[in-house]
Parts: sequence; structure tokens; C-alpha cells
Amino acid sequence: MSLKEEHRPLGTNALIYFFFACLVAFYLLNWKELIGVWNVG
Amino acid sequence: MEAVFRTCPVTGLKVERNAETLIMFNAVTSIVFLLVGGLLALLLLLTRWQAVHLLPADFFYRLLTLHGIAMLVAWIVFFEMAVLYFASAILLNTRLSVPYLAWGQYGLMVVGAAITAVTILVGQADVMFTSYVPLKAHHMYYFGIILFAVGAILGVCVFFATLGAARHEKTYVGSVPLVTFGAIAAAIIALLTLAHGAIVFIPTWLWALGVIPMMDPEVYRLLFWAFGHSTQQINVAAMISCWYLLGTLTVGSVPVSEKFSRSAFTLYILFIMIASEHHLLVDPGISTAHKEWNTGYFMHLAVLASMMHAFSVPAAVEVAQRKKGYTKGLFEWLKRAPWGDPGFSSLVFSVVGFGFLGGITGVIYGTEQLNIIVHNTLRVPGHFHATVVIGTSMAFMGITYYVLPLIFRREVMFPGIAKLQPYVFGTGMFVFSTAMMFVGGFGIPRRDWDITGAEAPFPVAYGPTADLALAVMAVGGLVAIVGGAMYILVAVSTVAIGKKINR
Repeated sequence: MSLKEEHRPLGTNALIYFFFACLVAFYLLNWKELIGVWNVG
Repeated sequence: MEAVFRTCPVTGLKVERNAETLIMFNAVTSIVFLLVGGLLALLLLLTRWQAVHLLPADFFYRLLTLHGIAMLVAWIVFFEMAVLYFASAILLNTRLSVPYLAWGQYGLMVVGAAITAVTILVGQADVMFTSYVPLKAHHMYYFGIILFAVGAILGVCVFFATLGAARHEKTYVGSVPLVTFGAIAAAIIALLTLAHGAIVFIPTWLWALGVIPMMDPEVYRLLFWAFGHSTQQINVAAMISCWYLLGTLTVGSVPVSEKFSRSAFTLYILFIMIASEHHLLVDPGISTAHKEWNTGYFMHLAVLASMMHAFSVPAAVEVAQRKKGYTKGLFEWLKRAPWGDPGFSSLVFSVVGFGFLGGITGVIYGTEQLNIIVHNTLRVPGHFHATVVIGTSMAFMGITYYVLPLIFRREVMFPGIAKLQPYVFGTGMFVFSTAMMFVGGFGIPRRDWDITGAEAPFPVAYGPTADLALAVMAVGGLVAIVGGAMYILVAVSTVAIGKKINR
């Protein structure tokens, strides 16, 4: 589907970037704890 | 049975009488099971809330078993049968093939569900939804499930036969619509799932009858989840078909890229069944390498498909809104969306709840390292209430508001209540699921009548925060039950006494 410039889904695009930023932030903030889980068992 | 058609003047769809009647019967029966499951949910919730702790232990396990069967199987599979007939006969403007077989589907599923429900209610099958062997239920419990599964297989066969007839009679041009394509994905997964159901439940039934001397618990669990979890994958494919349909019905959206969306459905068919093994991450009988391949790699290809849909559907809605002139800034399209249309608000709750609450937690809990911590805690039911209840059930509820005028030809009653219903139900379920996952973080077990260990022989201290979170979970659940009751009120009143639309 070819879209005119003003019809492109920029809002959804912004939400996708926000979602991935949260995902990366989760791993950056918790990497020590996530690796620490390996010690179980 | 001769095919008789009418044409809907609003949608232009040709509606065949057999398809219409079968959609009605399946949809109404599904709502009856939703009512049963909802009443049980109330009793279970008031038992989980330790301050109330309503039911005695034996009744709790009995009703929890029936709640699982009524909600995860009966409500959803009956509704899916309606979706399959709608996506084939109605959307492709054709007749329902082999209507006798379709009535066989309905009859077998009703009889099977009734046998299973009665066996549970009389106390002969307190085995929970999973019925893990060596727990043994009365043989009629397994027999009922087998009848139900055979009925569902017939429904899937009717769906494929109808697709074949539509193609043969050239009732559509080019490829099938995306919604029908999604329903095909759901039907293929359903066939594989029901085959596993037969593989696991027929021997278990024979074992309960005393014909087979023993069942291997490890093999049972592996095969059970190929059925038990995959049933939920049929839901996912059907739910996403409903998302695309709701987008079209509410704002007139069309998929941004058909190829992109169809590829995502194909990923489901290829990988979603393999992903079921995340239930067995703590099972010692399966090798780590096997579990890692299934849940560390293949599962993420199925998750990728969900993410593709979760962004493709909002993008389609955004494009449709922007074409109407809502182009200001990044989010004018969202602000000006039809929030008063229960179909649209249900769609948004379903996408956000399934994707961001249920989906993300599912990926996290399905990781082997983290599963060892969350396994068998309340985190797990918190996750699947987000996927199945907020995701699937809300999508089906949203579709109902359009099925009522199109198929039942009646005006939706109590439009004010219908408008509010998704907000009440969705908000309640968000609070309930989040609080449930939160208390699971304290290590509070799932499926346990005495979840805080109040009557344990040794002291178990979860602390006041856990008690508070359990109370929040209960309040959220009660709000959701009110929302569910609103849905049933609107649907049942419309079907029973709603004003007829003359078309």
C-alpha cells in the first residue's frame, strides 16, 4: 500500500520505538540480577 | 438442507440461513458457559481473598476444575466455531458446506461439555484443568472431553469444506480476505491441537476404564501441553482475526501490508505449538537442550508474530483515522478515535492487554532461568488471565456488539451499559492480573486453597504487602465480574427481547 506523507502511521511508529526503549532499559537496569538467576540450581 | 440467502443492506454481506443459525447457536452456548465460568470465578475469587476464604477445600478444587473447563475450553471454543463459520460462509458470500456435519459439531460439543461439567460437579473429577496423571478422574470426564474435541474437529472440517465450496463456486476474487486467512491459521492449529488431545485423552480414558494398566506422567504432561497450550494458540489466531475485523468494522481500517500480516499468521502455524513446552521447563525428564531450543528459540518466532500483529493493527487503525483528516501531531488519530464504540474500546483493551501485559510477561516467564522462580506461583495465572481474558475474551466481546445486529438482526439493548462495559471489564481485569502477578512475586502458590499458608503446620510469613495485594486482586476481580455481568446482560437481553431490525 503506498501512503501519502500525512497518512503514514507515525504515531504507531513512535509507540514501537518507545516499546523497544523500555525493553532495552529493562535489560540495562537488571542485567546483574538476570545473570544472577543462573546461580539457581 | 437448501441454501437460502439474505443480503445485509449495511454490510452488503450475503448471509446464508444455515450459517446464521449455527453461528447463533454456538455464540449463545458460548455465552452460557461464560456465565457459568463467571459465577465460578466469583466464588473462587472470594476464596483466594484470604480475608473472606469462602469455599471449603474440596469445593475450591472442584469449582476451579470446572472454571478452567468452562472458560478456557467451552466459552472460547464455542465462540471460535461461530468465528470459523462467520469467516468462511459469511465473509466469502457462500453457503455453509455439509450443514448436517456442522449440527453434529454443535451436538457433540454440547453433550461432551455437559458430561464433563456434570462429572466435575458431582465430585468425580477434582483433577484441575491439567488432570495430570496419576491423578485419576472418573472415565466419563475424559469421555466428555473426547466428544467435545471430536465435535470441534467436525467444525474445522466444515470450515475447510466451506472454503473449498467458495473457491469452487468462485464467490470471491483473488486470495481469501485476511480475516479468513487468520481463521485458516486458527483452524490448522486447531486440527493439530485436537489430534494431540485425542493422543493424550483416549489412552487416559482407557486407563480410567482399567483397560490400560498405567500412564507415564512425563509423556502425559508433554502431550497434554501440546493440546492444553495449543488450545490457547487457536484463541490467539482467532483473536487476531477479530482484531483485524474490529479495525475494519469500527474505523474502516485495511491492513497496511497484507503480506506482512499473512507472514505473521504463517509464523504461528509453524512455531506456536512447539512453544507449548514452556510449561515443562521445570520437568526433570526432558533435556535442557530440548527445552532451550523450544522455548529459547522457536517460541520467540511465535512471539515475533504476535508483535508483528500488535503493531500492524494499530498502524492500520492510524492510517484509516489519518485518511479521515485526523493528521495533527502524532496522536490526534488516537484522540479522535470512536472511544464510545464498545467494539473499538474492546479492541484497544485487547491489543494492549494481550501485547503489553500478557505477552511480555509470557516471554519473561517462559525463559528457563526465570521460570524456575515463577513456576507454580500466582504469577502464571496472572499472566494467562491477561492473555486469555483481556486479550481473547475482550476481542470476542467486541465482536459480539457487531454480531448482534448482523446475525441476530436485533438492536443492541442498553447502549449506555454496552458503551461502559469494556472499560469496567478491562480496568478490573488489568488490576486483577497485575495484582495477581505481583503477589506471585512473593512466592504465593497457584492452585492452592490455602495460598498464604494460614493453616500450614509451620508458619509461612508472606507479610502484609502480600495480603494487601491479594485484597487489590480481589477488588479488581470483582470489578471485572461486574463488567462480565454487564456484557452478559446486554448480549442475553438483545438476543431474547431486543428490537428486531427488519432487513
